[in-house]
Amino acid sequence: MMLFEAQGLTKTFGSLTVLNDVGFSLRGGCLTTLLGSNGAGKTTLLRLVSGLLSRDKGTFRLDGKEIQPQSPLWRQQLGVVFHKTFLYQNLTGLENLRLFSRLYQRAYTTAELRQKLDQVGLSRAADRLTRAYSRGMQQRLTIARALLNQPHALILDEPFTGLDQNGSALLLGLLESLKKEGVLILLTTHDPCLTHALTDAYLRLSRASLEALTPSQQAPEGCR
Amino acid sequence: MRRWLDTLKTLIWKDLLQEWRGKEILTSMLAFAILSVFIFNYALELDPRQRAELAPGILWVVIMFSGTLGLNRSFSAEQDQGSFDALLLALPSPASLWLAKQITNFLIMLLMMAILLPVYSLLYNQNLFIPGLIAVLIAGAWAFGAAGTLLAGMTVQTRARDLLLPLLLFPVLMPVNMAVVKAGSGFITAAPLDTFQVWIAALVVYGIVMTTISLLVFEYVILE
Amino acid sequence: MSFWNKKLTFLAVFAAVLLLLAFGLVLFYAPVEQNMGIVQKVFYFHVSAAWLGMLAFFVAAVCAGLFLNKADLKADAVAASAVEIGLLFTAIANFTGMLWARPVWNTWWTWDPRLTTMTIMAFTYVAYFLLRRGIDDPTKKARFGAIYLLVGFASVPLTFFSARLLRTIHPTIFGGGMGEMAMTPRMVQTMGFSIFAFTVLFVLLLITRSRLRLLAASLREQERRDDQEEFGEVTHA
Repeated sequence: MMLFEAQGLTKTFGSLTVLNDVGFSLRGGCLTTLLGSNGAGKTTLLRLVSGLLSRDKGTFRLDGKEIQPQSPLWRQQLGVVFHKTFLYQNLTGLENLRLFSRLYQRAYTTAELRQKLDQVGLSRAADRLTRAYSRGMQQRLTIARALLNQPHALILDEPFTGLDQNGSALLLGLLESLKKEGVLILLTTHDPCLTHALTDAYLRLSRASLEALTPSQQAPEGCR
Repeated sequence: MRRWLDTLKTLIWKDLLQEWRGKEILTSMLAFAILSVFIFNYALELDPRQRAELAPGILWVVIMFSGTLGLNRSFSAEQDQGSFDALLLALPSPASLWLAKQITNFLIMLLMMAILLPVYSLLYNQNLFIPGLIAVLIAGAWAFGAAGTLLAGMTVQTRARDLLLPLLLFPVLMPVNMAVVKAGSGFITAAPLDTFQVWIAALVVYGIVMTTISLLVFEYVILE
Repeated sequence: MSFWNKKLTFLAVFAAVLLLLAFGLVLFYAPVEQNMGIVQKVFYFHVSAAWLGMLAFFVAAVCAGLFLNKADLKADAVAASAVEIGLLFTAIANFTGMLWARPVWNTWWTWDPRLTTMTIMAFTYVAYFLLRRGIDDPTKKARFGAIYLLVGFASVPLTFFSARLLRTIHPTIFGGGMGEMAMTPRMVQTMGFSIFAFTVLFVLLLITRSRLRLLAASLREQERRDDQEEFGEVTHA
């Protein structure tokens, strides 16, 4: 099982410290939910882990060996779902997937791509321009795109935004099967109750420091 | 190397396909260019011989202004969709994105010039199909993009966007302006090559210098 | 970091003394040029100001490179201050140039390559500030500014050589050369001293302006930190 660790992670913007000497470990097959109030720095942490933002201090380790998140080695194993969809509006759903699969150098046939769209419930809209998709449909397409390179680690920033009940159920199902396949999952969400059943570990970010909690310690209020 | 070529092909195809579907960039550029050519007729009521000498200057000014319109849009698809994150994770290096955008912009400008030149020749009854002039305009278009694509990558991330690009680009483009007009005139008036070949050299040098700087520095435009 | 200290006081006094001496030299020590008369004396400050503009641009480009190498906002503060000062002195150079050109050649402007290049440099400076103004995040502001400075710096020599090339082909367009004046030893001494005085002034202005920028930035950061204390939020104004 993959093991991803961070130690001494520090990030400041100007003289504003968002993360101060933060450390955590993530395991393959485990789903970790990152909690924290708005603007606490959750997105910053996710961007640091995905190599989209450079850190001031700290080390990352993959399976015990030090790694740079900007390196192709890490990036190739990563799937990312953020607020913004990163889809090209003048291309169809299918074409968007084909574009990214080519960039990831995966030679999927059209049939295989259609099957992936089917996995997220978009098979009927596959040949429509993304411009015509609803927010929920775009979110589903983004998830399909993130899974194209068969990532070993999946990072999601509020992935349930815009999804209706069916879409949320679909995503939860996907996350569950990905967990079984040994994928490492790190996510943030506005509604922790939704993912509580699947969550193996909680991390709480507050005032630039990170606290690890067990699910029993942090059963979000009102969840069952 | 192979990865770079594949990536370039994929990205260029994506941009050209989007443009083909949207047809926003080329049509605006062309409309603007042809309108400008009309306007110049009233601004410069000249006898045919003077007009012939001024042709490269007028043409280049028109090409530059409409080229700026196109440049403004070249990154808008990525910016509207929420920046370059998804691409960044899938690309071998940020510089490959610059090169793909540069080539796309260059091709669109060539297409525009291919339509503009016959139109101008027709309206002013002047034969512009001189190989030397065409070569100079092509080199000028590359040099234009070499500086412009980099700057457009920045301005698209600012508040003022479209307004800002000409202000940043035009001062930096002065050597190109001088070189294109001087070399172009040389070819049109069939002057002896050694009287103006230094301008051709200047144009080439500029293109090489700006391309190199852009390739080296572009990562700072899209990485944080 | 406090804004002012003893060393700066010394530097300021030194600069003031040098400038006064330079002014005195220009008025009394340097000879009156026979063709152009007393107006020619503007020349000493014109060239000094132009020199400052170029020095400022060079300093800014170096700081830009330093910033891209290691994201130290101090380098950015110095770069922005250098550009500001450079813009001011380029304007002075252009203005004094016009004061000189009008009586001597009966024209306000000549397409002299140096003048043309300096003016284009001024446009680049202004564009630099417009670019910075369009970005809120201080690090991004600094990064993009640095990139533009490097691009601008690369284009300036090319602009100058192109403008000079243009001139050799069309010499008749321009009046007499702006710098083609026989200079007596006294004139050379006065010029050298004037340039030195201006350089000291530049250093003083650069240090104080950079400090002012850094202090303003830390004040803004303090406000943000106070916001974070109160609202628990990271505000990127």
